Amino acid sequence: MRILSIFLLLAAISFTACEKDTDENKTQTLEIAFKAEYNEQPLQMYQDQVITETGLTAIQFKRLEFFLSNIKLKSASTTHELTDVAYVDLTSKTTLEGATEGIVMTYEDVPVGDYTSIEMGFGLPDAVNETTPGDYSSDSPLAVNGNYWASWSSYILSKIEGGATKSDSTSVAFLYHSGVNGMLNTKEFAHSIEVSADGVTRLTFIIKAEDLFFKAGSEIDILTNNSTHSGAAGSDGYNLAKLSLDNLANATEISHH
Amino acid sequence: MNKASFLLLLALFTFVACRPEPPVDGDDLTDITYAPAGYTVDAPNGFPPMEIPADNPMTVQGIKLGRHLFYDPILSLDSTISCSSCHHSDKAFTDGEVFSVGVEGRRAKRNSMSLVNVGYSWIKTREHNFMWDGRFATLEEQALAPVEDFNEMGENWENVEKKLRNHPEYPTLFREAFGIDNTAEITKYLAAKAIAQFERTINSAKSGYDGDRWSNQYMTPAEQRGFELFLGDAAGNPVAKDAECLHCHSFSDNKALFARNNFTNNGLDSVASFSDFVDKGYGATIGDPTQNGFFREVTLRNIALTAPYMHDGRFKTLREVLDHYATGGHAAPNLAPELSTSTSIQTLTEAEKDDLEAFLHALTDTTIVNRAEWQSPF
Ligand code: HEC
Ligand code: HEC
Repeated sequence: MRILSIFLLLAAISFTACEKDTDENKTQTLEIAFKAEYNEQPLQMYQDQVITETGLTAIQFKRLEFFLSNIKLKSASTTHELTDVAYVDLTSKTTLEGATEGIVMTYEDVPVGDYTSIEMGFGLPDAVNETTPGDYSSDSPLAVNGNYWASWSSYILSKIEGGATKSDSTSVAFLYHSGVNGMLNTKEFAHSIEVSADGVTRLTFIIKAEDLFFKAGSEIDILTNNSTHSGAAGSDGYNLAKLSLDNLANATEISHH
Repeated sequence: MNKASFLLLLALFTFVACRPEPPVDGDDLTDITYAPAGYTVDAPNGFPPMEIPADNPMTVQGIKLGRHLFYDPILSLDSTISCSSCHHSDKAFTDGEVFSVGVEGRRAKRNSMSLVNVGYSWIKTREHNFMWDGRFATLEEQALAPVEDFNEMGENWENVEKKLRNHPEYPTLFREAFGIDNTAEITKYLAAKAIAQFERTINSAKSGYDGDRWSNQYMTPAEQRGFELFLGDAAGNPVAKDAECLHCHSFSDNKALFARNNFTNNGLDSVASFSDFVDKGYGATIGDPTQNGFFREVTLRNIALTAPYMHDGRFKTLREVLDHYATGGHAAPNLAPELSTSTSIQTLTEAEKDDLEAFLHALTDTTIVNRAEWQSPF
């Protein structure tokens, strides 16, 4: 009798344990890394990249940062939102080591399973844009005054800054700040993503920095259009700012190695 | 010895014994009531609730102690210099010097900084919040530094702790603020916490700008024009002239600091390479030469009270500051792109500088200069 009850108890315990073990209830940590590359080499800020575009001989990035919103893992049956807002700031990546490392965002308690895509907004939804820095605790990127334009009543969605050397050896600085409503660019990256129960999964995104300016069909001519602070919808400033944000979204891809 | 003289002696002893003795190091303090009263920072209009570090909740008693310490030269080598020597309330808690004067006439390495609304410059998750070069994360950490800075207070904390433990009043103030049981528990860390608590009470926003924003006391036309230049083309009109100030001295309606509090090179010096900056600033703090010559984009509130300007006090007047920005900044490999891409800052006319200057004056809050609760308690 006593032995039987012990057996029963044991069985019950193992049963419960097994049930907990099914992948459905398990969670794990997912890391999302972002790095920038120029022609497949880690992009260091304040380093000249030799280029052969018309009129330019070198380009140098000094600031590269932007908001992401509503990052979601998706599969045919489920959607799991990792975060509503994230800020990717590669501005401090001035060394080869730093640029190679990029930045890593860590999300805990992600349901284990196979996902087929990851979706994220480059920029912020208009509703978030209606809020202001004082609405957030200081550990949120939305609390930072420098990420906000008071007079547009908008966050600055992305900042791409630097300089270029012209063929005549003089230099030109550039600054593209996107902002105001209507710019959010939501992108879905189809990719088979296994969040495994066995350990931390890492997804790495690469920003191909050359595509920010020189991709056929969506070029930004630094010589003629070196700066925008965004602007009212439809204005030249707005269009250039939107192009810079769209280029950022399009220059971003999942690393396959 | 006769009976009478014995009685006299006894009476004398009792008398001496009954006189309260100044506590000495090692004295028990548990007889003194510890009943701290919580304190909530009254956020000025246009400011969010202040964030307070979890390990240093504010109390009325903590603030009182901090105020005493802030005004007490006991923290310095020769009892000549207190925090307030370089941070006077009538100059928005700066001192009017190019380089502040410390003990024995020594000069601090940089220009003093305003402490008004300083608690709002704390970003929880950031390591580099305070000083021109961002070398301190918290006000508590910062408050430890001046005492042992050779050029400022020139003292060491071990001595200061001794002086505080053997002082007639501080043991009681420490007991009331932090509930310590014994004078031996008086430490520099508690002193720094108290000072930080006092600093977090120095908040005010009653300037011309605030009157315009919150109470229909409108700015003058010149101030208004200056404000528009300050905001620049971002004000919804792409053809308006842009003085670019808003990029770095940014604000939002409910967090109106007029400080981005990041670190940049605003073009003070013309240098050929990163290593040529005389004061490396933030670059030295983080060990990254590309950021040499970067300094903090500080608040412009009360700026008319805090001359001279910049980390090295190089500009005597706001007009000199504006003349500087109107050059577009001097060339350097890391000159801020906000300045180097500007198309209009170099074309600011004298009349436009007048307007900008008028607006900068509209950021002065004259109520701060003699607010009773921020004055010396002595
Ligand atoms: C000899 C003059 C001097 C004394 C004494 C002095 N300070 Fe300062 N204070 C300065 C200078 C100069 C700076 C800027 C230094 C730098 O950036 O390297 C400064 C900066 C600060 C800041 C940073 C403000 C900000 O926005 O980052 C705080 C806070 C401060 N002091 C508080 C204190 C306290 C508290 C004491 C007393 C314990 C004190 N100071 C004593 C001269 C002084
Ligand atoms: C690229 C960012 C940037 C821009 C744009 C900018 N500033 Fe500054 N400002 C700074 C930095 C950084 C400092 C501190 C520099 C130092 O001390 O070395 C500063 C300091 C100042 C100071 C002195 C503060 C003090 O306490 O001594 C004043 C005044 C000032 N700026 C006004 C302006 C005005 C007015 C404009 C627009 C015409 C402007 N700034 C544009 C970054 C900027």
